[in-house]
Amino acid sequence: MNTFPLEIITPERIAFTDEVEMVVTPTATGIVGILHGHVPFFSRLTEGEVKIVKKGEDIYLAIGGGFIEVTPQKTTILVTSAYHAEEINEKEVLEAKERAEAALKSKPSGTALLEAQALFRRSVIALKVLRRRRPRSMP
Amino acid sequence: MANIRLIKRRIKSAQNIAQITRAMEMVAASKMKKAQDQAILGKPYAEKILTAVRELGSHIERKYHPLLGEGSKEGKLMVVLVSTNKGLCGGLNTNLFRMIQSWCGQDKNVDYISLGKKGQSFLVRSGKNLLADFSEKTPFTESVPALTQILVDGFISGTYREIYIAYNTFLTALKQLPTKKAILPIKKFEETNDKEKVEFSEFVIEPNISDVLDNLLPHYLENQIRAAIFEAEASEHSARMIAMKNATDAANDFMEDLTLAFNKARQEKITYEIADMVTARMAFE
Repeated sequence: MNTFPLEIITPERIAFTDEVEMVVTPTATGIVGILHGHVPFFSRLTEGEVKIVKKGEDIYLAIGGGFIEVTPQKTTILVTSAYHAEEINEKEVLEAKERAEAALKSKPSGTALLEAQALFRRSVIALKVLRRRRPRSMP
Repeated sequence: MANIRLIKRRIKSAQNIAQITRAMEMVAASKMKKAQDQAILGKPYAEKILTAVRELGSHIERKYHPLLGEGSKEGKLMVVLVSTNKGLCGGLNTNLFRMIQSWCGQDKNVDYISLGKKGQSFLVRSGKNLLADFSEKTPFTESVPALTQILVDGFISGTYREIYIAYNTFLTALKQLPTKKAILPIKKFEETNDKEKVEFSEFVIEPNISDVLDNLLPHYLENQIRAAIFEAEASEHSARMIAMKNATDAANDFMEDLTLAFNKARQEKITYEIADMVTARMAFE
């Protein structure tokens, strides 16, 4: 299968860089999969999970909002944060989710509500990415 | 003899000071390395976002996007002052404040936001218009999104005509330069080579160009502020490193002088004792 270079860049580091076969990203208008030879493309990304297919192996990353840019030479994903499944601490995420749920229960308003919702979304995404990896690691 | 004991005590305390300042110097050195690394790691992202903004910006009439516009004529000036939370870094903050003072110190029509306790107390002391202070959250980069929000809102609503960020640029470990950088309005980007341009003009942009720009531009601003903060941090640590090195050297010099004085006093005492003994013996004979 044809491959293309993919780079995932965050302000802190380059989270991923390799030749890949496919990448699936959550854009503002829906989920978009990119294969080799995709038309030049620029879009906004929402929080969610990115799926990377490399030599038949699936890699999942949890990302914050950002942008994707596809050029004939390479594909670049610019996001505020990107975490591999290995980098996510399940216990911390569960705690964060509980905190968010508790915060949402108390019916906050304004920025507090937005913050709690963002925290909840992030933890749900992180958990999803974690669960994806789980079945593979256990026979 | 009391004098000798006194000198000895002073040598001891100079020694302690030298030890502490040497430790602080080393801490600052490693922190400087870290800040520099961080700034380097953030570079690919900053460059990428700059090209994206530049290219997309050239595809849209400037006046159609509030952030690309000129800003209202009546608005005030806004200065984001990035200083340090702690002192002991030589003339770093003082030089920065002096620049602010000579640049817009007399102008009453300026609002300030401070990052760093030293800057905050300077602004309060000199009776400036301090709008907000983000010193509490460290590292400062944590408060960048909130800060950007304030700046963008202020600019779009026309409260501010121009927004600057003032910080110390890191030139070398020995030299830091107080700098002011305009963040808004976004300047015209200098032209780049044509090859890149052609690429972008064929792009499919989703959902549409203005939606992407709405999100991209604040991002771009955030990034600029973040870069300034990293630079200020590297400056802070390098300045502290040099200041501590100077302090260690001074303490060592001082110790040398004191040791000399101590030895002289000791010798003097011995000479007196011998003279005493000799006179006592002569008195017997």
